[in-house]
Amino acid sequence: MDLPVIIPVVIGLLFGAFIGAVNGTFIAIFKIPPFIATLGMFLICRGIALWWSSGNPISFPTDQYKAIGDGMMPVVWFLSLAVIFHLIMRYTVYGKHTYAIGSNEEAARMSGINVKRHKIMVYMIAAMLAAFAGVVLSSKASTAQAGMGEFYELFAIAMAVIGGISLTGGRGSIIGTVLGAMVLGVIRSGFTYIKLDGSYQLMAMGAIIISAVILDQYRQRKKA
Amino acid sequence: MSEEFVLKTEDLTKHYGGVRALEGANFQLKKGEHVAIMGDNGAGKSTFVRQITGVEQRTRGTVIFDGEKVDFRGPIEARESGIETVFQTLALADHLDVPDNLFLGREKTKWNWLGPFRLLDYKAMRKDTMDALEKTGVKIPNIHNTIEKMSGGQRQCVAIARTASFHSKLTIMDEPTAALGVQETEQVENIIRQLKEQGEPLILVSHNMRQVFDLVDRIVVFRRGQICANLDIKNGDYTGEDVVAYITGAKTGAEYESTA
Repeated sequence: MDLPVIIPVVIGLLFGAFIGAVNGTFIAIFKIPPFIATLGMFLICRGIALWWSSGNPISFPTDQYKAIGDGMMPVVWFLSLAVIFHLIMRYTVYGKHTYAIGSNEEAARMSGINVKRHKIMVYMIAAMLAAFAGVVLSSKASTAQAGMGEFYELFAIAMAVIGGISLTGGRGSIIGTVLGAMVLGVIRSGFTYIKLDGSYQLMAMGAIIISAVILDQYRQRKKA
Repeated sequence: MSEEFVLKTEDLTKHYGGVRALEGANFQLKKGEHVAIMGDNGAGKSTFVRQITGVEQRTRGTVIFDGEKVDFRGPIEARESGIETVFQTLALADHLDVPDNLFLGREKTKWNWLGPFRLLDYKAMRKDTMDALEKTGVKIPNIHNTIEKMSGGQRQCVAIARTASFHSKLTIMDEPTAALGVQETEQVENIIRQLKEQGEPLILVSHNMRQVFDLVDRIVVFRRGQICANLDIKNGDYTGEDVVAYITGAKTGAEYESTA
């Protein structure tokens, strides 16, 4: 029996939110460094996916599900979410508190912002968006397997840093990140277009990520 | 009787392990009164402030604020009950601009039904910021510059304007002008005078004798973790030299003989 497509999608998003809540709790309450907490959770989730699918691809033959990631739909999702989050980060209390915590967590706490609750919310939203990306990706491919989206986490970091988000927090924008994503997208398409060997592509991506971080630190130092 | 006092501490004591940083401090602050806390480095001034503002938990003693015994678990609780503190390390977010910092944690908003995603009322906050800066005489060329682009003095002025613009029951400033130039010091002192006019009580931790004599009603001197003098300076009974004598231990207030 096929369920209406909204149900599996919502379940996927809720599972994402749950994972994010766990991440946020580890980071905000148990003070585990965010990079370690999310890296650990990333491995756990990859393990769960592998175990759940027994390593086999799972296909989604329903037309409704395919429609989510069909044709230009991923672009539509990307742009609409970018617009929504641009507005949220720029014009809402949530956005302001996110920047404030990134800039000076102590100052945010002293100002009466509930930093723990806010961080958990940030990680929940981030994980829900990651879950939604997974939905779109599997829909586009009409299949899902445990190994999909390999290295996407690093590409995401690269896009953010190229787009001007500071790794030490407090600075960055959705518009910058969109541009960063486009730059990285063009580079990756270009590599494929010139038929650059996969191994070289990996090396180049690694070099790009490191350069982006060096650039970020250089920017920080210039400010100080 | 307790109604007259904004703040009263009895036997306030803080030990760090074996170190007696603060011992048996009995301190009172009347409504509308401005009191300076002076003393050498390590005399217990900042420790005293940290116990009142809930940054640290006292070893023993009572704090009575606004007529009630209080037990702040953290600085936020203290702030919520009306104690505003400008700490030596400024609590500003460097990447945000002046209105953002003034209203951090208490933003003006609209569409409140959106919960955490309620909209910021930038226009109202901008207007209130301009008013607050004008009132306090703080000159900041462009309030939409981020804090990181400002001088130390401007930052301090923002932090203090922030404190002053929220009518609190008690304001505490821990060496607010320690790193400032002449003009900036003057701006800060003007803010303090304004608090006095508005009848808002203040505890000022300062090393600056001229400033203290210019601004406050009373000086409480700390020495080696204990209060050693309580000097009413309104009538000109004491000079800077007297105060120095108390700070260094050459003199001790009559009622504090036991601390000598």
